[in-house]
Amino acid sequence: METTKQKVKEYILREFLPGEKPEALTDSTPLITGGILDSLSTLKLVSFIEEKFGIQVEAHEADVEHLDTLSSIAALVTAKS
Amino acid sequence: MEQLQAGSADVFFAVRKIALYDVVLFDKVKHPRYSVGESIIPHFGKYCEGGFHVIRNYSYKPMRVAGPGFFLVGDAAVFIDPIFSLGVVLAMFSASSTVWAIDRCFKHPDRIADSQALLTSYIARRLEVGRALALPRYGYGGDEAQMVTTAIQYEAALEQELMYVVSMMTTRSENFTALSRSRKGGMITSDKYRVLESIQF
Repeated sequence: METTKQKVKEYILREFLPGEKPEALTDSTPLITGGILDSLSTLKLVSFIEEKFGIQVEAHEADVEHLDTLSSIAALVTAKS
Repeated sequence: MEQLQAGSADVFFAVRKIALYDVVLFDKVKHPRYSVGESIIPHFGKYCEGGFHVIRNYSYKPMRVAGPGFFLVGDAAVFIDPIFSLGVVLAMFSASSTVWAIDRCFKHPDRIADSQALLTSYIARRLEVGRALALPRYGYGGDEAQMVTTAIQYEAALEQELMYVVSMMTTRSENFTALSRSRKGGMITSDKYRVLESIQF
């Protein structure tokens, strides 16, 4: 799960937080409700985790509950792997 | 219309429906018949007499924004209220998210229905936020209200606050105020709104 978090973290830092210090993005940082990911960014994130981890994210899973933190994203990936 | 291989027919039929625009295959998309960068309009695009018409309703929304053979974007997806200037924002949002969905359909032709369902849920939520903010006597109950409250959760705290301020600037504020009050996590508030009791010259 740590590897999953790290890969997602690197992607978010590269795509949505360029120049940000890595330590500023923690496992519990709110990504959607914190304003880091808007709805279009969230769709891009869905595509990334589907392609990176070979999973299929269902429509009802692409929401705040599953994608708002690195921890919740990693849990989703782990549950579907 | 030429019949394509099973799975990708939905996407190409959608392209034919918006044939006023030239369309080429996206980078990284592999298709057995067409090359990246090749226009597919010559294969499918043609003017269909009677294919366009005018809807004169002041405000409307479709039953669905995507389905077998179509994607709706811009004013085709919704028209709410010209006064609030929501059309451009919603057009850009629906176009961007629809591009994402079409790209996903190309990459996963076996999951077109799922991609369209995901797109529909995203756009429908955003459209309902616009309707809640702009339409008087909006029925804030049932599934539509749930869509609005879900969509609001996707916005950052500052954006939520700005939406609240916008709603307070109109006489139609009761819709959004009621929805924000019922929202999980508490009512949205703001200290950025002040009523000017009088203006001194």
